[in-house]
Amino acid sequence: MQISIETKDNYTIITPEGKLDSVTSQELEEKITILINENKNNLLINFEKLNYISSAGLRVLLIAAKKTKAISGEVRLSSLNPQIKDVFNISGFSSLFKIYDTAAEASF
Amino acid sequence: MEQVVSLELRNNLEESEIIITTVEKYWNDNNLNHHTLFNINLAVEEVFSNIVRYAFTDKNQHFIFFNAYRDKDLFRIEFIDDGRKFNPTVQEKPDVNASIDEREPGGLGIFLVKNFSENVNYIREEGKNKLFITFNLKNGAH
Repeated sequence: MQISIETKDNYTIITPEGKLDSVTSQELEEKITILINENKNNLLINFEKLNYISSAGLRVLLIAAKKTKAISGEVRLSSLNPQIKDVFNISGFSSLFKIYDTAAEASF
Repeated sequence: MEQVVSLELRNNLEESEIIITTVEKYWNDNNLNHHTLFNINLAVEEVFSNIVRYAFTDKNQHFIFFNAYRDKDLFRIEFIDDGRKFNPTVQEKPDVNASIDEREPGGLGIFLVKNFSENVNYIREEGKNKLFITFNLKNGAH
């Protein structure tokens, strides 16, 4: 999966492309683990180029939320499409993350 | 019901993509509603990855059978595997109101499938797990 990473002053934007499923979520997890190990505690995951998420993707997001919280940071999300929003609402993940309509609004 | 897809897959995670590509082709050929396709893709991935990860206690290759049937607005998918007995319809519901600290990863897959489909039925027959999931093509959302 294509995952682009952009470093800002006090946060990092992660933009994965395509589908976040049981195969590709491992790649995202590896990228996020590297960033957290570098003490990047504020992460913005931009969903603009994502069209699908399954429970495997939710799992990676929950782990990222726990790990960033442990180093006084957080994970924010932006630009979820309506079907991905449904997945977040049903799973209760909508209340675990700050979710914004655009990446610009989600900036730290 | 008319059978529209019949596939025999190996127990590798990547093989769910074969099911998804085949169902997508049927969808496009028949000009069906893409909202339901998202829900079906989700069900395929969640169920198939559960089978591959947890059903088999040995390291051998196993076959998983996937069938799809359609009757007007009803679309039914079926998974058959020869793994250990597992009824996903009786799994505990996750606590969707828990906080980040309280929530543990996992346990969401089948919960999502139940919410994104009309119904989920399980039977154990002749040493096989058989899971049936029905979707209504007229219902965009769950």
